[in-house]
Amino acid sequence: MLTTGFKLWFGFFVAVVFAAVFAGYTSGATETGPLSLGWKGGVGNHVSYTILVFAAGVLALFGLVAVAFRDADAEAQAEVLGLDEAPAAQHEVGSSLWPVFGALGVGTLGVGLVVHPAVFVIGLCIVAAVAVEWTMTNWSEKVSGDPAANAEARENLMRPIEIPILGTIGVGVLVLAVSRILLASSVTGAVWVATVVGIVIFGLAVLVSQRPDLPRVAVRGILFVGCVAVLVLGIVTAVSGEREFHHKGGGAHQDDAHAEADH
Amino acid sequence: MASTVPAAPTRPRTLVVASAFGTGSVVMYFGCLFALYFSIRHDAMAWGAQWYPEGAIQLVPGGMNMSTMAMSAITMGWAVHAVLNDDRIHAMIAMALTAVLGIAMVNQTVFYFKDIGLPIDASEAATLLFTIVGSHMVMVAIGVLWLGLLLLRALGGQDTSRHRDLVSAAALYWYASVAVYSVIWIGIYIAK
Amino acid sequence: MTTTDNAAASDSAPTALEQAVTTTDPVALARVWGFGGMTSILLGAVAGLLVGLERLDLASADVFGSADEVFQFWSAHRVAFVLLGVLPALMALATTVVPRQCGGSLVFPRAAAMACWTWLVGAGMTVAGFLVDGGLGTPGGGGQREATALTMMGLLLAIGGLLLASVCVMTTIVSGRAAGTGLRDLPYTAWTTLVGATVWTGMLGVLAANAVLAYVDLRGRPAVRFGAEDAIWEQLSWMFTHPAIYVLALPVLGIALDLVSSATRTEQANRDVLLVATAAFGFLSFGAFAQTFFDTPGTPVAEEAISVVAAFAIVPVALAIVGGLADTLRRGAGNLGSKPPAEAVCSVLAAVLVLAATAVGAVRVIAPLELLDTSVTGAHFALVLGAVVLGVGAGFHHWGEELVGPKGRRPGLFLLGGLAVAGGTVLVGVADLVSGLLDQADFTGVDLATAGNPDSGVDGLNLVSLVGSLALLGGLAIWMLTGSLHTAANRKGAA
Repeated sequence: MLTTGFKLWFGFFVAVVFAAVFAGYTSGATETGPLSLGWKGGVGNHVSYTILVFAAGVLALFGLVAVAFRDADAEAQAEVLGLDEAPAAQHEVGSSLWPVFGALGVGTLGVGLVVHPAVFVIGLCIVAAVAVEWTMTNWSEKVSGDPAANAEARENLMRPIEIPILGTIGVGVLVLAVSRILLASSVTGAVWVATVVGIVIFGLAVLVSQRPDLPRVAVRGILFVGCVAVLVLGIVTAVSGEREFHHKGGGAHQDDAHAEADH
Repeated sequence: MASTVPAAPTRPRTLVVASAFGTGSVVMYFGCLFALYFSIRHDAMAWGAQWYPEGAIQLVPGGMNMSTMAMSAITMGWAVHAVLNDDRIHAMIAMALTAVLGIAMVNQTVFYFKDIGLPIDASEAATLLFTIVGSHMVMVAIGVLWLGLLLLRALGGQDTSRHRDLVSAAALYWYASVAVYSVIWIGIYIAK
Repeated sequence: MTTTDNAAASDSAPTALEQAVTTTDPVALARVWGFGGMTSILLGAVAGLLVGLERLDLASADVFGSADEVFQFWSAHRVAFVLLGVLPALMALATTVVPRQCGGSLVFPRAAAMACWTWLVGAGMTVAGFLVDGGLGTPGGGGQREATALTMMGLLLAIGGLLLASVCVMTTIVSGRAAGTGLRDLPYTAWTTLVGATVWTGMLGVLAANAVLAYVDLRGRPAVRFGAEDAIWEQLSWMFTHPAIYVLALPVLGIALDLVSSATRTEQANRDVLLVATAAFGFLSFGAFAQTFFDTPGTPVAEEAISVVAAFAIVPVALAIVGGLADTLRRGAGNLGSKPPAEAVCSVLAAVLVLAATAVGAVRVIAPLELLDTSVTGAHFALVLGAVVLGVGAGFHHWGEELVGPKGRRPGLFLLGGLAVAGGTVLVGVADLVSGLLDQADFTGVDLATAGNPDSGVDGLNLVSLVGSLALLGGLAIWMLTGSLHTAANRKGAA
């Protein structure tokens, strides 16, 4: 028996084929063009005809999938598994970071295409990382029927990869941001910036170590604000540019042979 | 910590059905680009205008890419067959081969684009050519990424007949990318 | 899992923000779809109102600085309604109500969450693009190319999000049904969503191709053709006119069939006829073929037989569906009581407006009248979209208890808003229809030649249309207030 889904999509397929042929013959098609995909004669309006032909192909695919899977009815699925009742189509999943990060990655890709290739590459890296993380989350959910064991399996596998990579990226980004800040400052200013920032970090670290009862939220907040401040300053100073470097004597360019203008 | 509780079965075919719907939308994307290409080309021919400069479009790169894609369709079928038969080694080899063929196809296309000597803004034909072939390259690249992720899961043991939907869904998408390329090959490279 | 002590565990409990952005609960995400969509509709209505104000004096630029600015707002009005407004609002119902109607839950909730956030990012970029002098091109080339590129990219992301969500919904309907629920047994909202999603996933793919081609040509060098400032809108415009916009009305017809059945406690007779009719309505709303920008010498595609036949064929189909609705109302009239539910009233009004819109769509393609480029096209858009907004609002109100909570529903206020939306839609539709018959152009610009040198009566009609836009905006504002009060009451209750 033909399924309802098949009737819907195959019916659409037949209707779209008729529409394509009709569109062809009523827009200047010649001979058997619309019947032979343009092989024997013209098809009339190429845009209408081609889009309708592709739509027909897609609808035929949907119809075939529907009839092959018996509309993917629960009863048919249970039969495939040899069970009396089909399992739930979707097990409950908890909160997840990957969808929102995935969307941000795709958004970064889009902005990068408009603004700068470097932003595009960052987006690409985010999307690739999210794809791997998402896959491994899905993988872990199929390891066993125990969510805790699944989470442990995931962490055992991914933490040794995630932590070094994230650590390297984090350190790299911070080093890059701090270097931009120092390069944008004057020679003396850079020394002062490095000294003051170093003292602030050291002071905060001492403060935190002296108060072990400090809530983790507070520690996380301090780290978060600090990192964001360094990043924002890094971006701002990267945009404003480095201070001017004047080469000594105008000779060969050597790293140790230049003087910097203090301004 | 290993758990003795087996994973709850999931409803089969859900992923394949989703892949069919998603692939359908991608095919319609290409359907539009082909429609515009054929329409504008037909108008140019009708006016006696030159579509591509003489010798700009070579048959060999397109033919090589087509044969690469055709081979990848076979290896993809091999992967599906191997997974259905719980043949893990062959499944992984077949998926890896398919991904490598996809990368080769992208590589050949990039080389050809650099070699073609036809700037993207040379004409409407050039803009359409780069958009269509470039879009297909993205489609193949997404397929390669998908296969890479499947291989990752396969290494974790999820490449048995219980997980056949994972491979079948990717295969459906991959076959569509081969089908789209065959239209490119015939409609652009051969018909010029 | 890494072991943590209790104090640490309580410390690392997710904050409200973390919960909001990491949730995969379709109901929580439906609020993003719904609120985002309705806000876009409101913004689109404001843009429409400003364009209406500008139209009061066809010969000069009073509200905006130039014709290009008018065009940016005019196109923003249509984009905001269709891609950023109505489709996402429908998605709010499709991801929550439809899975329940199928007896299961939404499949791929994480993918659906990503779809929602991707759409939101895209919508934000699109709005930003319009605000920084971008938009979908300008006839005079007065916009910023970079900003236009940003708008296009935002649009592509929004399309991507909508497509991904549609795939999740369609898969849920096909593969996630409970045992014993065949596709033929589905409630009408789920059925029409399946048919509608089949059509719009195809059309959104085509629209994405148009946008990508224009984007590729726009970037970095003088455009060959597709990315020219005055050509972008024309390539995408098919999505915002006959027959493509009918696809938005299809789920609304399904909602009306379900709501009337629920209000009258009467099953629809001739169920199979209605299933076929709604499928036919979906088929006739496939409009990706009608790409006017790529018309070749000869008959324009909008005047070709296929467009004309589709425009006329959809009228009896819509009539059959509304007839089914009327039959159910007649048979179940006794159960309605003296105060029929507000949402049922609104959904019936929406269905009638859809029928009226199909009639206007048929009149529009009568070749001797030459109405295709006149404001009859605007009237058609206003009627279809007004009907869809009304129907979606009815759906939100009916299923609001499941989406938001049981407390704080205000049917009276909702009905007032609904009547304002319906009244405003009728005023805009009728005024623009008559203006079109008097030769007023669809896009009037800021000079009489662009406005089509219409007859003298259009000034008064444009004022009526403006009043209609105000009523529509007022109705939407009342609905936003109703929704906010409803949400606040339940938040308070939960706290």
